[in-house]
Amino acid sequence: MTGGLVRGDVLKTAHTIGSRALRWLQDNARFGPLPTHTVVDFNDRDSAYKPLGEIALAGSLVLREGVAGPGDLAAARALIDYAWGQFRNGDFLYERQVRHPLMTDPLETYAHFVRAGIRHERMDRLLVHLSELRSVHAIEMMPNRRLAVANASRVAGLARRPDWPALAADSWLGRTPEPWVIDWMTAYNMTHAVFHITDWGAHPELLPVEIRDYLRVWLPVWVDVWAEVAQYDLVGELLIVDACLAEPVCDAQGWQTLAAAQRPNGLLPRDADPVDEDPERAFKDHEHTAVVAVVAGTVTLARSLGTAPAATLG
Amino acid sequence: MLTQDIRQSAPVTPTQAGTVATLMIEEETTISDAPLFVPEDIGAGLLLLGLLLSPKPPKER
Amino acid sequence: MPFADTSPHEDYTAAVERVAGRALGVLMDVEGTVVPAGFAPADPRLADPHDPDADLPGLRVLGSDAFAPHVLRGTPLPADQAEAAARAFSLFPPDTLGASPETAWIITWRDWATARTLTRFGLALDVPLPGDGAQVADATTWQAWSVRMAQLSSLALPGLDGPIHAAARRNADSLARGVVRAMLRRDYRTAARIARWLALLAADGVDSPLELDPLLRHVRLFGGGSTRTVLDTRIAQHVTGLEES
Repeated sequence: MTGGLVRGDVLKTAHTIGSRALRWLQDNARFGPLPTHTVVDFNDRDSAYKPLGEIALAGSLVLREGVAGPGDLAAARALIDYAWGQFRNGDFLYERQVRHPLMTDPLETYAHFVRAGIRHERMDRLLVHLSELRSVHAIEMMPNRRLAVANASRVAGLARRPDWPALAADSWLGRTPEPWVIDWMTAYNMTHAVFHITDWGAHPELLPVEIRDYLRVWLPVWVDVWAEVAQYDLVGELLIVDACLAEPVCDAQGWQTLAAAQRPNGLLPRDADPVDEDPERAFKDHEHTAVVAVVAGTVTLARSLGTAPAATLG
Repeated sequence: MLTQDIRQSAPVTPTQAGTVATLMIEEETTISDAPLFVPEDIGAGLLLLGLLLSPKPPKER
Repeated sequence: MPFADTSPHEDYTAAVERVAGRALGVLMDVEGTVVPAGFAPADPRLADPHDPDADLPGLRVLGSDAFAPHVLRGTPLPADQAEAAARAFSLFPPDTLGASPETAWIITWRDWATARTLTRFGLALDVPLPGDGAQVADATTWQAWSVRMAQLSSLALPGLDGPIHAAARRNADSLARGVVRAMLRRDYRTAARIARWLALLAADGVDSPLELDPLLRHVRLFGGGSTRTVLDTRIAQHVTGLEES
């Protein structure tokens, strides 16, 4: 009992959406520069810091998977270089980590550049030192955030091995909860647990079997429910989760919903609200959804082609 | 057979019969009331400092 | 019955709620009509206590669900109830309900279930024969299919079997997905109806990825003031053998 749609349709749609979103990011990234001497304020919804990290994430995955055409690969490389430049070739992240040794966002952001083959020597030494501190590992945080830090440490090549099964078991998904009691924010948190356990789809086999079986049944329901109410951003994240499974379970419907919503210029609105005509405002509002689309398209195509990610995990 | 004891009732109109059919068949609700962003989520989002690819809160919901 | 051809939706819905409340009383072994705690009792203006026909639309709509509690609890169907059931069918014969071709087969199957249930109490109803159930055997999406099964929920009773039931057994995962989808759309009427099938499958020992008990409790607490919905959850609970308050 499926939608009767051919997997090839999914791949073609996924590729088109991801590629167009990547070009839109490239065309509009100039709207997201980091002010000099910036203080990162997470209360500021328009802060440039988080989007730059997300752009680096999208670019790093396009390069890692290597399934994009030459134009897209060049765009991905250009976006990463742009973001790295905005971070003053990593000095910004390094200085932020020095100032806030217990904050995890410099490491998490840096990991995306490492994935793209970029290193910052002083940052590396700092992170090795911090990873030896019991205090750093004892920071209290939500289970899906703990998974994020564990994955960033893994990608950055830090030696300390976290107890992955225990971390996964602690997450919402790890409890295999009632799938009918999930809200919008919990859905986002759920997707992130999968992203970090599998390193954004590089290692579907690392997903615990109970979680994999659970998602196999319920993921299509969540895609359907949030596609119906035009939550394109969340649907995109759920489709990344699908690509993080050893065998995808979602049919073409979610992808078709995104394809119908994407603008000719590549902008994918995050929901059904009107899109602001001011391109700078539109970039700030919808940058996140573009990143989601690039990641979803890239990982979906790569897993179906059976390519092994270039980066290996320690 | 009990059917032979049935009292006569006034014939029903097509609208009445149609209402019975509607109540029997009961279509699903046309509008989904699925969970969406609520302002309280911003608080949760702030707790996730630096969560990459966490959503940006929509405006004025 | 009123003669003016205005929509009697409100009156009929109230009749359904009254009949559902009486069925719930039988199921829960309580004297008289059960109005679930916290729910407003039906508006008395909507029910004319002197109109002996006022409940007939409710009986006709609920069909087998109105009598299932007697089957499930093994209590006899009172003679006045049996007579009322027959009158409801004679007042609203199957061929006059005016359902569209897309939905008429659903009514035929529901009437089949009602007739089969009443047979147990020695009452014969003349209803059309249902088809081969091809409408639930076609390849379709689990979303549309599970909604069809919700519309056929009054067939989900022990002792009834046929092609619809076979389709349910073959597609336990689609039912489970359908009920979760309905829960998240906050369409608790549909959720409760699909849950009826899951309860029947559970009683038959068919594996399901869902725990039904908390789901049924959730529907009762979150599902609004429909006695019909509470009746569905209680029948489901009774069918699975999960009895609790």
